[in-house]
Amino acid sequence: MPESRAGAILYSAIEGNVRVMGKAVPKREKITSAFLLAVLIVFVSMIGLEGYFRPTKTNLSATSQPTAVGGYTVPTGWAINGAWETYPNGRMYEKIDGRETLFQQYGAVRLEFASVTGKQRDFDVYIYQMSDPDGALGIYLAQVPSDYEEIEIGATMADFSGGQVRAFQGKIYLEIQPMDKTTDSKLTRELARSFISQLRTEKAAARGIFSMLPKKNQVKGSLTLNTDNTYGLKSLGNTFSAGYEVNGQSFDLLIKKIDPQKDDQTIQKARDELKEFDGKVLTFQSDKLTAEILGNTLILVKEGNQIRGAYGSMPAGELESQISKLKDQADERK
Amino acid sequence: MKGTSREFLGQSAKVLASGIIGSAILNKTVRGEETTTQPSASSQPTSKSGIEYRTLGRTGLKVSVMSLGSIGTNENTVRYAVDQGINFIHTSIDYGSGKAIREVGKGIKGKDPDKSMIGLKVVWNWAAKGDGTLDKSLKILGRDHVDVIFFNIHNDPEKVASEQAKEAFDRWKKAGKVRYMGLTTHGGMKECMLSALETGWYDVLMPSYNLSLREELLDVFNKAQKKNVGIVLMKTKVSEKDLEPIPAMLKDPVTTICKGMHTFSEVKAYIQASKQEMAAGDVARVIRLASLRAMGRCTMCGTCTGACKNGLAVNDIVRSVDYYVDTMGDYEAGQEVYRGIDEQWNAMNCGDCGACEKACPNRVPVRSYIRRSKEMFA
Repeated sequence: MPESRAGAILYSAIEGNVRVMGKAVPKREKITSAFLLAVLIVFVSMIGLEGYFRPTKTNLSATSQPTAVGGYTVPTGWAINGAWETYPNGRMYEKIDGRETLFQQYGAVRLEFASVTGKQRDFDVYIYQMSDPDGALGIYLAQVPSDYEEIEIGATMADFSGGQVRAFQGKIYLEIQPMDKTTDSKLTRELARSFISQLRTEKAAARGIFSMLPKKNQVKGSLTLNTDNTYGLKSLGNTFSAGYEVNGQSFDLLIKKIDPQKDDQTIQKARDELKEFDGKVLTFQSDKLTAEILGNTLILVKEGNQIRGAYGSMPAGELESQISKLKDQADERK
Repeated sequence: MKGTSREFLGQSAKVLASGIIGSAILNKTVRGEETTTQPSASSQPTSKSGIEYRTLGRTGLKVSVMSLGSIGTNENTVRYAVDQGINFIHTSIDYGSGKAIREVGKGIKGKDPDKSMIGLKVVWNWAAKGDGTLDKSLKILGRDHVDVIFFNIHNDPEKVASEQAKEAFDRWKKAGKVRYMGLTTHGGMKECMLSALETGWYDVLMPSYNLSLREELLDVFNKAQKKNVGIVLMKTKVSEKDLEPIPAMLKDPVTTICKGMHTFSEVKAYIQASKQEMAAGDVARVIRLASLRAMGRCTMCGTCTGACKNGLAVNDIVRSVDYYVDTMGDYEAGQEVYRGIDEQWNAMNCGDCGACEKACPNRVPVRSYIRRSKEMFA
């Protein structure tokens, strides 16, 4: 005899004398019925709890309530007004109507939002998770004004401008906006620093392809994600570039992420474009191009999942050595 | 045979007169019922692309029929465009928070100033602020002067006629920093241009324009032509078919179309479009299509701004979203336009009364654009 109440009911149902329309039901049929009933209960439960098994699909349904995840805490003396709100890609428009498309272009995965109060001031906190660090940097560069004031809050890049702090670290892009523009910028920075320090390790540590561009000798503010072209060449879209000054000579280094599984045609397309628009192709192989355009030399090299490049008025040999440094950096990271 | 001095003078007068008349005939090109001043063949600049040149009104400058807008461009594209014969570049220290003018400065470095002329836009208050911003712009450009200084005024014909702009221009001209005076306008264009023509000060007018506005503005272009004032068109894109209307627009008495060009292929495409011959029937079709495509789209007429009870810069707010984000796909430019609006006139002060929408002749969902601008830029 089972000890639990549920077990006792089931035992008595199977072993007891159950009659239907005056006839006794055989034990085998009772076991089969109990099994089917159990399957039905499990099936109904799964339908009812679908949201827990497939949260994204549920979030895209008619419900307008964001999912609270509460992933971050605020410093002592600060408080979150209500709960954290999460808006997955496809529903971010509920919070940032008009801007969602822009964030999608850079691979937004979701937005976490909270209203925070501290020192009698209110702040809106937007934490965007992007699909990769390149996207996080891309959206950061798209948002930050060119006359920004760079600040140090522990992030890869951060700035204070227009009363708000923007920061980028790993896959995360962070915006903190005080409700009152006269708010002391120290408060906004303190709050931003707190969130940056809480970023989960795997997101914070992720490094994008742009981080291959050396920081040493990099001209401040020159790091750019060229979305539709680089130097007028459409073939070099979605390419990171940065300016450098070494021994009085200026040049740019480039890096573009490619899919190593696919037959990437960037170098061939660049060659065709250069030929069409008065460039001079000096050497061409499927994985390397050296060319002159408008008095400058452009070198592109394809290797693995990236195309590295250098551009400037320096002799080709010197530019080659700069690309080699990029390669060394890539090898070190491996 | 020796002639008398009277005969010599008579012959000379005939030669001179025939030269003048001949030159005058050469300089007239029939364009429908209108005529437009063209440079004589001998004075035409030449280029490897074969782009056409026209005289920019009374400035006498021979400018290419396609000119280069600098928002989003880069040093290489500027240099390539100049190499291809595009010789007029429009820029401002405001564009791209200064990036545009820096790229232009690098692109024209070492180029012949006559083959890379500059039209520089200044916002209204600069005149009051002094010459600092003009001087800074000249320094970035690496030039001691700009060819045309454009005062940027919208929806305010009285300001167009204000002595303040003229005084600033005269001061800058005397200092050798500017050559000719221009007006850029993308709100209440007709009224602003008519006011400019009335003053007689402006050498060049630069309105927002697309073919859906032709009926409204052609008369102004004709008046400008009669007063020998050059016309530079901007913001001509209303749909993905950006190249199609170019030959049709160039049939009218305009001097040049200013387009933002980011890549070499865009430079080439715009030059080729300007060289397309278009039959009269096709012109009519393109004009009709432009009007259809513009339905529900902002044409920057400025009616909404005039209707706003709170005095908001409604058409600038709409332009930041409709033109820059939706049409051009340039979020940063839209953001810059929005940030350029004085705080008291921006979308945050909208009372959502709907007067702008009711007034809009194109039935643009103005309130939707205002709401989106708040979300995107505010």
